[in-house]
Amino acid sequence: SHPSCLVLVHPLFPLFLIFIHCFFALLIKVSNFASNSTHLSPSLTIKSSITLSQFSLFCGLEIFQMEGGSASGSASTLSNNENVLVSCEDSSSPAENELELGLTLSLGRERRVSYADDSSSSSLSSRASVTAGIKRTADSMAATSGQVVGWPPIRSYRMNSMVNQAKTLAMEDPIKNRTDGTTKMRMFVKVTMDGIPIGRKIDLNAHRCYESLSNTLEDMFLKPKTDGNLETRLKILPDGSSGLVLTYEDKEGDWMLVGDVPWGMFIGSVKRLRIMKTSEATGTAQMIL
Amino acid sequence: MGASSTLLMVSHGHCLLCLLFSVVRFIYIKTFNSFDSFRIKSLPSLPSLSLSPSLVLMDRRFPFKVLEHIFSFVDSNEDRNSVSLVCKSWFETERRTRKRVFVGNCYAVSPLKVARRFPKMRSLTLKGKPHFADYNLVPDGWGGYAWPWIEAMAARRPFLEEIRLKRMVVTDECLEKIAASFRDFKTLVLTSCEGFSTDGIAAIASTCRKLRDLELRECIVDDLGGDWLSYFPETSTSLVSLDFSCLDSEVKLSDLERLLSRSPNLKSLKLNRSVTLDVLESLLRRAPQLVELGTGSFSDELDPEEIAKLTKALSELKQLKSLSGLWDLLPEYIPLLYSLCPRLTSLNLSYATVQMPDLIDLLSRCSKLQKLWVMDLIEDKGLKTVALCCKELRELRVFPSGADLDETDVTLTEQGLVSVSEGCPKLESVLYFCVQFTNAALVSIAKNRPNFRCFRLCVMEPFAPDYRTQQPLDEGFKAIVERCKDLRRLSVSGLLTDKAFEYIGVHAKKLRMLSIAFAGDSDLMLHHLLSGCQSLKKLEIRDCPFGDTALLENAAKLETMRSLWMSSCFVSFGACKQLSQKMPRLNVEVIDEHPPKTRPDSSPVERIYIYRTVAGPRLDTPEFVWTIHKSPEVGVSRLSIR
Repeated sequence: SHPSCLVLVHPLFPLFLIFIHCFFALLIKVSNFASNSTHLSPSLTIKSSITLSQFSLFCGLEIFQMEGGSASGSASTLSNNENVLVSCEDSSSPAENELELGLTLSLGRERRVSYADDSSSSSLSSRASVTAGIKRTADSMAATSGQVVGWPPIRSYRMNSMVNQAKTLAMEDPIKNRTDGTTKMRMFVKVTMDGIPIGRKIDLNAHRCYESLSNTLEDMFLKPKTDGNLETRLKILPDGSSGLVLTYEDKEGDWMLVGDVPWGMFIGSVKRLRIMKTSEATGTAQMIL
Repeated sequence: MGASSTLLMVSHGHCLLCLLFSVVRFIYIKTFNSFDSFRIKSLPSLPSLSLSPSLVLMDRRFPFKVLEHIFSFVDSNEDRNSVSLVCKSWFETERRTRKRVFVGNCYAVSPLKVARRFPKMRSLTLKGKPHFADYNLVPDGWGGYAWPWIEAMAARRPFLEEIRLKRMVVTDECLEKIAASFRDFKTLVLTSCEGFSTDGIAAIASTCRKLRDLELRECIVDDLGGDWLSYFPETSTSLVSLDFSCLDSEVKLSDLERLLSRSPNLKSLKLNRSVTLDVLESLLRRAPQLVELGTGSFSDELDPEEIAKLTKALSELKQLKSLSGLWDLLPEYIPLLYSLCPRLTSLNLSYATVQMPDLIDLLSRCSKLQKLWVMDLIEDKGLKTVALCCKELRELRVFPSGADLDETDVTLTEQGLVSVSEGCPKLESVLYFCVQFTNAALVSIAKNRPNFRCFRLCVMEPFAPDYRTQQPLDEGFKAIVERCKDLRRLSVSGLLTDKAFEYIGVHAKKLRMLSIAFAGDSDLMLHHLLSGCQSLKKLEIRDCPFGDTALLENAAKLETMRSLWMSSCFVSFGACKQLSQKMPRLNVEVIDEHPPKTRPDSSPVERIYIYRTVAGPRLDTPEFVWTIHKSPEVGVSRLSIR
């Protein structure tokens, strides 16, 4: 039965070799088209030619050994050859993953799922560092301007040098005369309203009395879409009719109700304005009064 | 026995035939280089490189050498990209001849692919973090690591000569690897980078014998002292450009003097602030051939003899074209610069806290000025002088001077920009910080200067309307985009409604980069932009009230853009998931402290960054960045493989 097994196998074997050859070429072409990375094909075909020649070499070697082996060994050697082929590819392409397209996709997905599971368990412990990472930038901005993060859009490098320069300018201010005849044409103060994150600026020198100031503020903050809603007028009078009250912070840092002092005094001491709800204001009003 | 031996010989012969066949096929591929039919991919934003069919067919007969010679005249990378889309052989030829590689988003492609695609690469330019990282909107540790790129290039492209990085994290290991791996390394330009110390710079200085440019522009460097300067080789160096203006610590004067003496080719020198005025004279004496000078601090007390010597030294700089630095410039030293002014084409006074009347004296002498960076201390009057005297002006940037922006004492208004636009016929790039603006001013600016390419207006008060009419600034920006047909970059601010963005979508056809903050009323805004602006490549939005609909409707547009950044908008997590499933070649990254899995789909996310990529989700995301996955079951994951 020894020569008959050889007779059985040998006529088919070269045909089988050709079949495997064509099969792998097709596989590479198909994966080529699937990944749409056609520019890789020259290297791929070089690779394929090399691997195929290696394959045929190995087949030749197996045939050497097969001469003395049994018939049942043929199938296993063929499968061994396939494994050898795969490992050939691995060894010849250490860090390149284009050939193993199908393999890596599935392997990758498994890898990713496992990492997703790991992440959920470690998220609690890393919460502090996460918040620190985001809060750090907020703190750095607050240190420089005390306003919205990243606004105005000036590079942090320039912002830092501006901060330094502002300090030197402030030191030189008493020495240099800033009021050298150029009248202060505008006096901007910041106005914030509860519930609106972004504050606005208003030029106080453009107004002569509290009425016009109040009108301007209404135009700014209460959109005229609510037409005819005259109840929201007279913000400065804390009579509770509008639900809002206007306060200001003076040079000493105290929050006062607007409208108590003459306009001239008000202009001289105001630093910023705040529109707050009457409910909040009654507390402070009682404290001041 | 005879039968088996012949059969054995047959099988050996078969193996030899297989080998021969593979070899023949290999040679065939190498020489003839032609497989498939021509495949011209159509992308919406291809510049027109029209080819007649006869030319296309003819190239089958053009050998590689001829094509290579023709392509050597194609310089711009955009043209080269279109060339490589024509057919396989053109792709092959182009990739083998490209010397300067530009990657606009370091996560859009893997470093390995780039290294393998361009074997003759000599110069690499990379950009990492999104632009809004400059304004602290991107938390630390987001990414943009240079190491994978440098590692890949060091292994495969040891002939690389130039590396330019912008907004990336560069470590000392990266710098040491650069120094060790690239024999002919010539140029290192790091802009807004961070993560390294002066030790890394010392490594570059000492090891790269052919170093020509070493520029650190506005980087955040761990400054361990000024010793790094002494590491340059003792023999004559080939330095052409040295910029260390962002470092803090003092360098030894003797080191600097000796370096200047043995660098005869030095054309550009930018000192840091710690170099005081009294030593400037001895430095300038040793480098009279300078074309660009960045001084150090300009505020020391000098006696008259030193002033005279410095004046003489400055007047000796016959070739100086660009002046910067000038920290804390004192008004009494401005006359020292008068000798330089007539030749200056670029003047950076953005760190010089000089007030008005002194500035006029300086600027009125600079008739050839093309680029002016100045603080708003220049005021409207100063800008009028600029409009009168600097007729060659091409680029103007006016930065705010008050760090505490609650106090604006300077009278810089929109009139300044209007007068410059009237007076300077070549003005094409503007960055202007102002407290308030009017529509009328914008309309007259657009009328005067329709050749703007870059118009960035920052009205520093959010939601500020036209202060004369209290209208939104829609009409003003409409005029800008209507008249300035060549507009490439636009930043809008002030009170804007959806109409403004409708105008931008309709008219701004060549717009490539758009930055928006605190604007718009609804989703329509985004819809107008994404469906309208054809050339849009980078869009960054913060604090605008739009949500999911526009984003999902125009999802296909996102693949033609480099990136989209949205922060503090109303985009929900569910929309991000849908977008990611719809568009497999986009990376949808969510930056949020809370894991998105724990929140409902309708909750808004803090910041998202969407960019197109062929490299798949990135593997170096920190804890607060989540990449939305393509497959629904995986959902969201942090792919941090350390």
